[in-house]
Amino acid sequence: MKWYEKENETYHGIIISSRIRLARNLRKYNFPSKLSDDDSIKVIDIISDAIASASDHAVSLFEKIDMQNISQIDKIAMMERHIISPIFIRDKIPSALILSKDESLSIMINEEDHIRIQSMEIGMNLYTALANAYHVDDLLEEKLDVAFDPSLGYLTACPTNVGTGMRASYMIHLPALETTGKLRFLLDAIGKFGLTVRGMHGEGSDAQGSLFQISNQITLGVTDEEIIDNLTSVTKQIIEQELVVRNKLIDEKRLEFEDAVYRSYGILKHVRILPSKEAMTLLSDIKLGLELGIIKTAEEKKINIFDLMTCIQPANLQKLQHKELNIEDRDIARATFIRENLPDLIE
Amino acid sequence: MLCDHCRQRPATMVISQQIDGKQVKVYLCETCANENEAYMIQNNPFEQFMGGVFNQKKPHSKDQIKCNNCGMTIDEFRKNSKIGCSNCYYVFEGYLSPIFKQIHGSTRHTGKRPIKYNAELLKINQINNLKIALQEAIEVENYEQAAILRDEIKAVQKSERIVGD
Repeated sequence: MKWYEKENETYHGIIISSRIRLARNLRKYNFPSKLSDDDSIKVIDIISDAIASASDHAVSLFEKIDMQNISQIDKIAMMERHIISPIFIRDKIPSALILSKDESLSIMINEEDHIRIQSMEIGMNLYTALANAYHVDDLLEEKLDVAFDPSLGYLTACPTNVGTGMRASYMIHLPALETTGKLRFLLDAIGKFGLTVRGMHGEGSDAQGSLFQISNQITLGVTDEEIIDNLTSVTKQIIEQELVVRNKLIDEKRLEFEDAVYRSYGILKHVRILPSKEAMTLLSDIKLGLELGIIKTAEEKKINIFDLMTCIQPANLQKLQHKELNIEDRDIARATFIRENLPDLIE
Repeated sequence: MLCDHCRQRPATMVISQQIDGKQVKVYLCETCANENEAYMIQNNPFEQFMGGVFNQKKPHSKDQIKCNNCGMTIDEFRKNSKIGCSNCYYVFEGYLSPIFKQIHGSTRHTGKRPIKYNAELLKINQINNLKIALQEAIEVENYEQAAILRDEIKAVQKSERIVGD
């Protein structure tokens, strides 16, 4: 079972996932922006050997993927599933990915830094994600000479990551705050806490289906635990606000709200052509309707809207269909996929 | 709030930095932040604020500092905001330190350390404690004990350095 297929019951499903990313580099090699192809290959070998020879059985079984050997569609599909970052798709130098079976742990080699350890968990579980990332980090540190300075911490390619080299983030679903325009006020306040909000695929990505990523910007002079506690307490405040607005919607505009949810359900169940962005918005409405008890699945069937949202992304959709599709064909395939996979919903 | 660039889509990211002591904020939608590179380059607050730092201390081009390991120069760093190698951190310490202060409000790491460094730190502490004990032994003229402590300090100092060059 992949991490995102597990059940998520934290905070009414508002928090989709928790993610920890650690940036590390080898002391003796130039950082990727200054790394030759030959040295890039050496860096890949050194890091993957360290993992393969790990005394930890689970870690030694991680799969290594040579990024040069996989298709562009496979890469984009991985990005859509949050396994790799958008910049890892444009490989300028030889790069590799080491991935756990459940896809919750990954190591990108030669992204912006030599090592990018990523740990994902469902719901509000940053400390579990941190513990899993530390496990890999400690293992690598034991075997490798990692670029670390006692006063500056972990030395990273970008000055925004120096220190802990850690980025913690929550993916949150904020449809009520977004539609009522209250989100922009929160954006202002968030900056004051050294945090930032981005679209669902992180830096430079579009916010679709009311999904946002909230993460720390500061990495020097703070501990990983302080970062996580600050991020968690601010995120809880945002969730409180989202819940206040949701309750207000139900209390004051129940009929309009029910109408919007059923309208979205009707479209999803009947249209023949469905562009990605529209599908995300409609699924977001369904997710909200389910969480507020406006609708439920018939025969108490399990439903994972976030998983559906991932499956209908362009590259994942093509992988499910086992063929390349142009935009028009994808919109048709997406409509069919949702008609077939969205369970029946009842009052 | 609408994107400061396209004024059509809602802004989903805010870039906020101190430039010349003033708080500057740019609100962007992800599409503009991503697609319109020209806009980002022209108006990249990150670049502007780093430019602000460098302009105060920009060296003359003839004595432009270059990293003796990877060859990175300050101009290169100003252009792409990426550091070339771990050695750059020491070569450009004077330039990078104010940048760290501006981004993070700090120049000192307080978080996780590799276990190897903890061992190194332990060793330093151990030597310091032994030195204090040695001083005390000398003061009370316990030379037998002092000789033992002196040998112990030598042994710890000799033990293989775990970290660094």
